[in-house]
Amino acid sequence: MAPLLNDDGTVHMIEAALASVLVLAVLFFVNSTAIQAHGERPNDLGVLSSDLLDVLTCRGSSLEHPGLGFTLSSGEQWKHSSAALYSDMESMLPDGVYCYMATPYGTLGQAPGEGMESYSRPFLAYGGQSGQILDCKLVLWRA
Amino acid sequence: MKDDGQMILLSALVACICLLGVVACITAVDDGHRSRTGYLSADSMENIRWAGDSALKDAAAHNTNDAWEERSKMAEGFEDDVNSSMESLSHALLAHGVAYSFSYNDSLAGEYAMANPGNDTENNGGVLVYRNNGKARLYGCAYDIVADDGAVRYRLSRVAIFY
Repeated sequence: MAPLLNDDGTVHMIEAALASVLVLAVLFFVNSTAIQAHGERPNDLGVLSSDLLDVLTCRGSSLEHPGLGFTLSSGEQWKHSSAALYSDMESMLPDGVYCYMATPYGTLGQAPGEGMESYSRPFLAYGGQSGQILDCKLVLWRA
Repeated sequence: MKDDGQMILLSALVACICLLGVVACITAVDDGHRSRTGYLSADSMENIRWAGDSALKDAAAHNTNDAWEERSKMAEGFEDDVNSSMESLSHALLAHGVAYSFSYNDSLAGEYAMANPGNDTENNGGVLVYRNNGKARLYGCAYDIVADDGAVRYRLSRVAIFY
């Protein structure tokens, strides 16, 4: 009866194992590179700022929950509605993420300190009574 | 090891090197795309459209409800207000390195009016007016916008309805 595993068979098995390890190493490299290239966590500040701005601009406006366009329609409206707007913004963000908004009418929240992870998104809004376009900025940051 | 085994190993090595090369190329292309630092993106275009449409709606609210015979004058008043806002939008975008232009699209507005005969709209040089109990109201407008930040150029044609 022939032996189950002769010398030739052993050599082939070792070669196949080595080849498998090489292929696995390449697959691991490909996988890790793909993650690094995208590098976006579910709580990525850029994505969060985009979603937050979309919600604030598209939602209906009420006194308790004013929309961004309504709040920026005049300096007077900003005084009345900006606190409620800021409260809603805070409630929409995950724990540990803070927001800061700068507009020609004033600012909301606290600006991030130096070295803190942050994302700044410039945006434009119609200034209502002034008929002018306002250059504004939304910053999300982590402490 | 025998010759056959060495050939298998060699083939595996060559295949690995080829795969690494492909991955490096894909990564380089992706990084190149991400390194673009222009202002324009799908998000910023959406924001520009929102700011512009807010100005259009506000101008419509301030220039509506004239007598039907005064509809051309009403459309002119609307255009004057819009021109001021679009000039402001253009200046704001220029500060971010974006060239922006806005123009009415007469043919698109005409197509819209023809496709919606039931709502009694009339095209007035890209501005849509409609008759309501003998009064003229601003119904919407058709426009083109072009934005260019040097790396990306966006062009958008649409009909904005104010109701």
